Amino acid sequence: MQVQDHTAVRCRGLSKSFHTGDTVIRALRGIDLEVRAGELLMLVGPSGCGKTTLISVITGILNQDSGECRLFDQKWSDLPEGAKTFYRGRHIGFVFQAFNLIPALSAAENVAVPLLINRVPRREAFQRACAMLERVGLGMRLHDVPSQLSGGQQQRVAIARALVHEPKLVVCDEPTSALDADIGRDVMDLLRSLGRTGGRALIVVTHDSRIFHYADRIARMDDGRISEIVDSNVGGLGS
Amino acid sequence: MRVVMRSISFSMLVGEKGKYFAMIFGLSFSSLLMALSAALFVGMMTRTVSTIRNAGIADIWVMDPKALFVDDVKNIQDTELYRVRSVAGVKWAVPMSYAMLKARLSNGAFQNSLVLGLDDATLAGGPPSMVQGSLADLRQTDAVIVDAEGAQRRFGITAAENGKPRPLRVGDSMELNDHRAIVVGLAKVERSLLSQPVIYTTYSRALGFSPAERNTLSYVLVKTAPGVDLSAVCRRIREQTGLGAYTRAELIRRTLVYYFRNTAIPLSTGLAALLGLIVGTAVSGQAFYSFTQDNLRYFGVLKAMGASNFTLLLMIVMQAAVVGLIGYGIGIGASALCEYLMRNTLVSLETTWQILAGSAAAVLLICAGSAAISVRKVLDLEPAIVFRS
Ligand SMILES: Nc1ncnc2c1ncn2[C@@H]1O[C@H](COP(=O)(O)OP(=O)(O)OP(=O)(O)O)[C@@H](O)[C@H]1O
Ligand SMILES: [Mg+2]
Repeated sequence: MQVQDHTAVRCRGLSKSFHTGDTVIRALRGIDLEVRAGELLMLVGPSGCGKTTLISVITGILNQDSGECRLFDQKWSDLPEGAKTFYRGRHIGFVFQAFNLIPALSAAENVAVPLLINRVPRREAFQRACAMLERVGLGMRLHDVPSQLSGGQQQRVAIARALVHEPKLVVCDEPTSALDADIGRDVMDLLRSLGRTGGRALIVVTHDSRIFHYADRIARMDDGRISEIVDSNVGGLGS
Repeated sequence: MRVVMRSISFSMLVGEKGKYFAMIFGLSFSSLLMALSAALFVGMMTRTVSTIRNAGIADIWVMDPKALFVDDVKNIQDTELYRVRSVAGVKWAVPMSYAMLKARLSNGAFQNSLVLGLDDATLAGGPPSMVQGSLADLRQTDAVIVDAEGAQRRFGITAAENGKPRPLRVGDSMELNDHRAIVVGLAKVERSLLSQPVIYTTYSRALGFSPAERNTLSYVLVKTAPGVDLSAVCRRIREQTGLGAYTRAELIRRTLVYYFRNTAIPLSTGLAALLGLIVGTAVSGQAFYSFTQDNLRYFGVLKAMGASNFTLLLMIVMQAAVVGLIGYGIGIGASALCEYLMRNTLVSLETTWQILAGSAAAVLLICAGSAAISVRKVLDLEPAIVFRS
């Protein structure tokens, strides 16, 4: 891994509007944000303030209207659509609020998907998926399908899936809001300990103030803007 | 190269057991119904030309010019035989008589039968093969040869003695229009559409069986000299005799066209095939569509995780191909089983390679159609949906 820069994500003047019928919703109104390599940045703010829209633009799922967004040294707007998809598959991992595990696939198959998308040979992909599931503590549940797992276990499978291909950036949208407080803490412990290695950046979108202390920094959003960024005191947390 | 996603798409498919079985059921049912009704169509159409196929030897059939198809018999004058023989290119020509007569068995029961009179000298135009006895046995007094299946089935029923049917056997006698006839052999012939028994005898004896008619010559069967142009010979026969003259292939086509246009065979079998197509499309197409709809979110997840549109397309095509192949296999297997189980019944099923290819094409169409509708949805998908809860 080359370390030219300690910035994983750099957004400058991002804006994005949605047009529904006659109304225009300005979801992002000039976002400036940097996410440092190796940090866990939390993105918080009231409902509808644009958090999901921002991470969609950061991950190249949505195109901004203006401004610029770079992931490490790659400007999204320089990539054609097909290359964006490929780049996203290679370098980004996702954890969703609704887990979004494919219900028909076993835990191991679900975790192998990002590797298969990146054309890792089948056998190797499954070996790595199983190893990753061991690391999130689900070595005994490799062949269970999501419906056989509890919510916390499903989210751990999702974390394994987000990390298995060693992405440079992991983006989590409300990873704990569907879980009990204790389980949510386990999930955050896991994300912090496994996620922030090798200069990988984590962006965690959340409403859940009980987990704010897992952040290195907290970016507060309001009505399409970043209103403040504060350093969180994580001194007491082991990683 | 995309081998790696294959197991994933297959697992997704099989994971939805209800829909997976619905798709396979729909496609199996569809291909079964299409293949069976097409086989029935071919089987029935083949039977309409059984008279021509049974008299395999003739190159050209000469008959009344107004006859529309082979069994549309209007007898012609006996002397026409000699006029046909004198046409250039004709190597030999023999008469054949064709009459539907009531055969009365010793127990008094009647059975309508097709009586064919063969040229006394050559017995040309006789049955394709013998089961018992030989064609030459027709030269014995009052001799007739009966088709083996007719002897077993139709005559078998009518010959019932004390309630027990027994097949007609060599040595049995019957009466054709009050003329005694002795069964000297059993022949294997192709079944006709109405499955009435076929009785072979000599031309002169057939004259005796028939009620006094002015004309008794039904067909002149012509063998041409090697290397001559068949259609030229036909034309010359038509010009010189004013009769209808058709090559074997022409008469088969004429007969098929007649039955196609004037009977319900194509319509009824066609409707069954169409029903198969519609049910297959409805059941499988619908199940496949709802399968992809249900998985839309997961296709979105795959897209967000970096799967290209091309990969998703391949996944859907592969899923459609799997159900198509399995459904087609089961359907055609079931159809082959039906054909096998019905081989000895009156139902004539004939599966040709065209039927196999046609049903494969129809299944392909259903799958491609369902996949195409589903693919659009998946390709137009906004991966941003994955963040919605
Ligand atoms: N595809 C879309 N079409 C139209 N409007 C949209 C779309 N996506 C988001 N919006 C609007 O943009 C604004 C920002 O939405 P966004 O989902 O980014 O908010 P959020 O901060 O993630 O909210 P929440 O905490 O409820 O998830 C909202 O007003 C939302 O209604
Ligand atoms: Mg949101």
